Amino acid sequence: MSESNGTNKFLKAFGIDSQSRRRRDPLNVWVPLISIGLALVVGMIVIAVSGRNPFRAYALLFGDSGLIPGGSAWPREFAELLIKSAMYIATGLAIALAFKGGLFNIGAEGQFWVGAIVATFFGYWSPVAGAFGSMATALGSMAWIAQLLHGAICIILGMLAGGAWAAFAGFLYVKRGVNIVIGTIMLNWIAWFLITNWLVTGPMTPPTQTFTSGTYYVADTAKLFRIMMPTRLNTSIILVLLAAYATWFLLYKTTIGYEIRAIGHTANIGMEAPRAQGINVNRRIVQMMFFSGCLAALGGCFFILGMQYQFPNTATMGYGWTGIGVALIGQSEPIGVVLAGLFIGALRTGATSMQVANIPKTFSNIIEGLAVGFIALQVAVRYYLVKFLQRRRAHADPPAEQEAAA
Amino acid sequence: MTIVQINTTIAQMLDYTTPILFAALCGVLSESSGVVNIGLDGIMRFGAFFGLLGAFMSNTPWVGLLFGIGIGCLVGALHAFITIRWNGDQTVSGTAINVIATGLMTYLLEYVFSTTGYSPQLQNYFGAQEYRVHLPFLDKIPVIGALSNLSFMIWLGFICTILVHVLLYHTVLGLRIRTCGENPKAATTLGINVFRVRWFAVVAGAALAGIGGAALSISSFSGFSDSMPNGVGFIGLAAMIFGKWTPFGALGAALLFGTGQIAQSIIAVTGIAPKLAPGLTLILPYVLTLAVLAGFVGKSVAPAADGLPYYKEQR
Repeated sequence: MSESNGTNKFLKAFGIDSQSRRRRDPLNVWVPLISIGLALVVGMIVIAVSGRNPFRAYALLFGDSGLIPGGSAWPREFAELLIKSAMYIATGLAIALAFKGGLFNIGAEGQFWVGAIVATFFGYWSPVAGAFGSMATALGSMAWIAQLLHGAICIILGMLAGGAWAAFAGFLYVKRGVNIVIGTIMLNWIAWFLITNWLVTGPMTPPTQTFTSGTYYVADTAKLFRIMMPTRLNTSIILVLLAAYATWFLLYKTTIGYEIRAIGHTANIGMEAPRAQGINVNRRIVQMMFFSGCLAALGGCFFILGMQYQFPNTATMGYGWTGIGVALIGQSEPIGVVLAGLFIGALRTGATSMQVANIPKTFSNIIEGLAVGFIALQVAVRYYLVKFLQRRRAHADPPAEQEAAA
Repeated sequence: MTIVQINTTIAQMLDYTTPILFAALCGVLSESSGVVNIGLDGIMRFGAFFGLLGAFMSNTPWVGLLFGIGIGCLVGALHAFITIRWNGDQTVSGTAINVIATGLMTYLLEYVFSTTGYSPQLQNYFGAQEYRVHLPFLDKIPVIGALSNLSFMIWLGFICTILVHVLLYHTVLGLRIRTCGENPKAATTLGINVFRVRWFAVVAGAALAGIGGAALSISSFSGFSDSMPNGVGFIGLAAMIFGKWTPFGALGAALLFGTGQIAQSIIAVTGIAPKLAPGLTLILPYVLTLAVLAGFVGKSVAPAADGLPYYKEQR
């Protein structure tokens, strides 16, 4: 008794109140799980139809995904899993937050890259990088302070830029009535082409282009700390978990969050109720897009400061699109997004070694796409699930039916 | 700049225009009936691969074209099944199609041809001389002369634009499609089966997107590359909006965006301007579309019921 009280107090310190948990539809948990299950089954059929051994393929996929401990390669795979997941969780959170407010922020992709390019710039730009470099040498053994500060500045500025990019879409939506899906898709491609076809190949490239060109490399002080030394695991996973907690807190423990959810619940029917309540809907929508963009840009900062250390000219789109899947599988709840992000990260990590079984690593895209497809079909999934459960119940106690007949 | 150069440049521009045009027409048809199709980029990817596959197996591009139409119909039917039969979220369904297309086409490319990145090149494709539509009498005229030696797909694009226009604005079915997009409730009251009309519009539109994909792999280029369609579907989406959800508007927008795509080479040939940063010409379609949506350059308004699932018994 006292023990559970202790836990409750501990949880309460973080704003989690176990007494007032809302009752949720249990199907909300089952729909994503069933969708993933169905996606994996269809994926298996795809492999089997193309004449390969699905069991061998899945053994490779999950064996090397980093989920199952053991083996010499495990620490490296586990680290890869967490590094990849951190980015997918970030974009997933961005999309989940917008979903909660009734908006489909397809633009997480663009916000991700805007965050990435800004983090790159402040990572290498000599006035900033030089200042922190000399600070690191001055501090000597305390150089980690400089690394902490420089990294934080890059991440904060990256997030602000991504947030501003998203808030612009929100502004166009509330002021000029531009549909948020269309607006953010357009901004995605604007960001992508401006960054990859102009900044990365032009103004931000070193004058002496090498074989692996791209932008300048960021200074050592801008890189994220590594926390599991032989592997390249860095603090990104910790930061993204904090971000997930912050998102949850924002949504469920603050007035802004309440208002965002009120807008989201009524988004399809004109948002009359929140307006009548005195909520400044337009301002909240722009703010929500800003937060959403910040989260997506955080993923972009991880991509640069934790993995690449420069903006490579070989970067390919996909983090934001994957984030849509993560948010949908996670049912737009921060905790669900974290779990879904870990799952997708695991798929991506394991898919690399499926190449041994002659299966391209984009196979994980098929699974993700199918899972998203089944979630789009969730009305059907729910319908057949309920039907199945009812039939089983009818089987379990047939007397009830007989009694009714009698 | 000689007449030949002008004409080749215009012909080249039309080559870029065609896939955009087909994608935009897909959007026009589908969204007129009230179903948003974000997945048209993915449908084009399906069309590009299967179009190539058909052309490769039969050694004639006509079979490739049929394959493109067929796979377009199939994927369109999937989208319709999710969004119309089960009222699924249209944007989510479209996203699913895009993501599946990314993974599955790479998988199939590797499975069928045992290569990565590029399929084998075709000898017989619509861009090859013997499959072009020759109109030698136009040859010497500037600008119009560009039409003298075009791929069949480009002409098909123009024909489809007219067909979609006639369908939407001069037939009963077209009126019904537009009614379903503007006010499905009223359509039901008039005895129109909203679901059947939307099924038709989505599947027919997706067939157009399938042709558009095939136009990439068996007309503009002579093979499938793993990066296809490289966002062309989204430019098509932009063209649809910029063209205010009408077929001829889509044609105009596609021509404009096609010009934007090759603006770089036009500038290089004519030397009228110093080399612009390539990113700046590539973003043109998207900036223009945003401007048009925001009402800075005219105003573009979507069909009223666009993107909303229809529940028959809901008030």
